[in-house]
Amino acid sequence: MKVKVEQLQKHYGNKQVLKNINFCIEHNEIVSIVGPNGAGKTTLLEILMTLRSWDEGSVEVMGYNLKRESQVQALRGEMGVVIQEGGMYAYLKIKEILDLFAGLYKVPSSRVKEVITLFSLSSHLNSKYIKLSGGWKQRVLLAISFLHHPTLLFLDEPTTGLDPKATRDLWEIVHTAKKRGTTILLSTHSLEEIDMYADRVMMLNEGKIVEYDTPSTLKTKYNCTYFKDVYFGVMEGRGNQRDNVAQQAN
Amino acid sequence: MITSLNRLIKYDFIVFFREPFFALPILVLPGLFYYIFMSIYGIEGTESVGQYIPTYGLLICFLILFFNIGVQYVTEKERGIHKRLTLSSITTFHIILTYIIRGVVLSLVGLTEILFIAVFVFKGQLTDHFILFFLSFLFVIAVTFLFSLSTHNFFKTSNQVYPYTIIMFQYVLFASGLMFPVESIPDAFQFIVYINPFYHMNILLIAVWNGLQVEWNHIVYFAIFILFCFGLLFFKNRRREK
Repeated sequence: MKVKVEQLQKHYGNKQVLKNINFCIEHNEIVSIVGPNGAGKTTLLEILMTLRSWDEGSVEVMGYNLKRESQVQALRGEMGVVIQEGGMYAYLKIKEILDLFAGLYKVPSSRVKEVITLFSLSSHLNSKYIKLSGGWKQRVLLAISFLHHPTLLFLDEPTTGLDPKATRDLWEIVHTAKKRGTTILLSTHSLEEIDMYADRVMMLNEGKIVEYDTPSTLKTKYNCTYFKDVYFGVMEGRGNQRDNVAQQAN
Repeated sequence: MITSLNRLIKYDFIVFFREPFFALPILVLPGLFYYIFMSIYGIEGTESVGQYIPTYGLLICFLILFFNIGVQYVTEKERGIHKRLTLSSITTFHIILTYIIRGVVLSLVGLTEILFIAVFVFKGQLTDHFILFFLSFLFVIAVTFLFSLSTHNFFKTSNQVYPYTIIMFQYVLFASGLMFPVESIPDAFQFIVYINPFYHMNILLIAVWNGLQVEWNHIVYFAIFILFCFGLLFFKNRRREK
């Protein structure tokens, strides 16, 4: 089991943003977290990425207990992450960024060459990060997260701002990673992508998990053709989906 | 860990020399201003050439540690660079250590530049208390870094920090004795000068350069000011934990 969360609760001041979250993520699957803005997706991901503390419950990632600082540091060296803000030096060249993170993750230069090939970065190695388009920037960030062969990858809204081709390329890379044994947990607003690529989907609303299953199971459960109909049905209770949801609840 | 830190320091310096408006105004302009200032007011081969070395050294120290590193700290935090770096094998402590190393190295490079111009261009005389002056300069670097970190820590975005930096820049230039005499400021506003840490740093460096005793009120000021900065850091950390 890659991730195990039990009775997780998180408050910001008086506001409770995560309410008794329980879930597990098995080895080698792609799990998507979806939900409206403010549902708690990024908070949940940041807790799992070791960026945020929590108030109650237990969180175990790759067997590491995140309450212990020594285990947090060990986990950080093993997992791969792409965070929402981007987080890169604007005036460094791509080859320098890869060299910097190769040093931080202690990987040999041969691995950097592999990653350059895997992400088709050779044509942009001498370009500065600030000069790249959104799609290429995201590709670079993803490449960094793959440098140290992570077996668990966290991606926070990785397709935001990408054009359709860049989005497709990114999902191809994610799928290739999965085939190589990587477990991926990502948050996204793109419901079509979930339909096509996710093995399981976690639907968050107001800090609670309202559904957690495979897209096909959820479509069957709510009698919908597309996952987006399931989503709007569960989140907003609109039209036929609302009736379906109500029937399911009964 | 040493490998990771070395790599981080290397790219920290590369970023400094590559970001527009970082290296040029910080390392070149003070030297140029010193040259112009001495060309106008300095008499070659006299003590007057050396008298302004502490002040220009302090100006460079302020530009590097407060202006450059302070603003960079906020913008890198805003861009998520710190967050991304700490999700590898390094910690926030290593990032701060990298800033300290760059701050010390560049401040000493700037001071050397001023000394070089003073000695080789204007045939100026150095102080007889150079080791003590050097140690005092390191102390001033440490205090400036502490001040920079403890105040910039409160800003989340570059839009927030630029007004603060611009105000501080003017405050330090006009109310510290670095560029203009502060004795002529009206008595009612003298307290603005007196609470300015760079006023006390300037007096400290000039006194040590000239081999004079530093008055106790400046020592007390530094003690209170350092405690105040640590208090700000502690307060911000407590707020972050909540």
